[in-house]
Amino acid sequence: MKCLKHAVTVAAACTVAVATAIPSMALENEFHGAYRMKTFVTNFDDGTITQYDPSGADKKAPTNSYVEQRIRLKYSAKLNDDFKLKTDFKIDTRWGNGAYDTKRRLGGGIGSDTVNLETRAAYLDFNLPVGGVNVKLGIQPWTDAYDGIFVDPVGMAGVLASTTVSDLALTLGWFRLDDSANTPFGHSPRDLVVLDGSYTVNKGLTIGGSYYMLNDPITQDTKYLAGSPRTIPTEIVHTLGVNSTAKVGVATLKGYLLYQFGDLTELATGKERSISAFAGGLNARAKLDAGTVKGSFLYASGDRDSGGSRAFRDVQDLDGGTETDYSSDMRILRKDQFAGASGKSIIATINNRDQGVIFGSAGYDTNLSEKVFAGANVGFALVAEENASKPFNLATGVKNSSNYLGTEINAAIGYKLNANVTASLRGAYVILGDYYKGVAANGETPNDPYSTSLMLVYSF
Amino acid sequence: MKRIGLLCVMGLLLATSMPAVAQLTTTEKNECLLSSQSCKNEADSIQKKIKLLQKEIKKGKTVYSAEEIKKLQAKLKEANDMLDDLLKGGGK
Repeated sequence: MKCLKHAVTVAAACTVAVATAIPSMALENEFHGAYRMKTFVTNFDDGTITQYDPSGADKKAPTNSYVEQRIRLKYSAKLNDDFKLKTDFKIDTRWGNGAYDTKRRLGGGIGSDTVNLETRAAYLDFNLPVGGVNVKLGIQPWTDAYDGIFVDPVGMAGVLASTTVSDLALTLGWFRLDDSANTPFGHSPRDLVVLDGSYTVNKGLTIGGSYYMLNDPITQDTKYLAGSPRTIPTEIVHTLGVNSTAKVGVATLKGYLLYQFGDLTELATGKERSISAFAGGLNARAKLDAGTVKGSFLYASGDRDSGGSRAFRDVQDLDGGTETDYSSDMRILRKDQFAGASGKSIIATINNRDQGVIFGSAGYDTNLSEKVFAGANVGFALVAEENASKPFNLATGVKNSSNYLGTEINAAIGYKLNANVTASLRGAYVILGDYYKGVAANGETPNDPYSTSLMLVYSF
Repeated sequence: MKRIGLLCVMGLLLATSMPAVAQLTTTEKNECLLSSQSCKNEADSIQKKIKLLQKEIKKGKTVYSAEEIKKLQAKLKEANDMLDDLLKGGGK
């Protein structure tokens, strides 16, 4: 027995010796991250990621002043150029919010000590030895080729294969979005199949096409988490899309069109519907002096009373989801691209409770000096179709005829402390449209929402 | 025997955890300890990596083959995408 102990000790010592004596080989450990802190004074943000809904509430929303922070940590273990493990973690906390707990977004209270590390991605990224095929396997970020209006770049478990043949790039993937907790595993999962192709015609023009298939058989009875509300119907949605990016002089134009068909079953009535919905968008950017001028337009069809079958169907995550706005830099009308734990917005998803969206924006970003940068944007939004989700005007007892959600004006000015650190002051204000007229308590119109924040970012 | 094994482990751990001071003379400052500069095995920030990749790509075909430049460009895109992702978005 003693001999065995000695043997184990020597073996352990030798293992450590070998492990530490071997030169670094080809393994490359890469570690990057960011810290983003925001201090808010706002009557809009409230530390949640929800859809703005002032109906029945006091017209004067309270002013919240608080600080939140987000930490992002990315680690990748690279065996060589052909084989990597990639991971991505984050910690969101509002200062003063919770301690000694085991829940995300807590741990900002005195004592901290909270299990709040969130895993956003953990996957293998490798090249097959033949065919020039790259494979991503595991929980990975993926987004569509349409500004993320169908699928926002969130972590999804699955496998994605892509290859390039001359000027043609192809991607094929399968993702398991949810697997019911109430049925045997794999019996009624929500799955997504994606096929994307793009062809580079010349240096200034790329055209692309897509087919996405969303199969969602999860019913209220087989909902994936106990207690989680199931608000979207069961459906099989086929999405066909075309897109193009063109460079014309100093301008870059991107346009796309998506059409959806398939079947949908209303949750409440069990009624079968045929899906027919569409969305289209146009983005433009051009260099102007030291800055960039930009504009965007988006239309997504809505549904009046056909169980949502005429409304553009997007992939929603567990708690309803909000689609981040990467194209127009809105802060209130759509989800702020710099959102952390706070990510409230007037349009939470492009489906927008089956109402659809009509949205447009224009803006300008510029560098005022080597250290100082600034930008301003204006945007407007309407629902494409009114339906049961539209709030009642409590003064008249009927819904307003207007579908106008509001007009946003926002601006930011920032300072680069060094290559890794920036500080910026940001403000946004929305003049609410008559969609919200008289929807607050006592038939009053809610006050216009605003959000101001000071943001400090360190990335490395 | 057990002690020898433990000593062996401790020695290796000490040897591998020592800062990079071996090359310094008795009159030189240790800038790594003093100001986190010139550290041995220091890791590049994502911004520094982007700059280094841009610098290498600029050297062009006099230094790199067409295939190597393509590879560097792919790495530059990956690094830029990573920085963009770190600064923006990041889910809920």
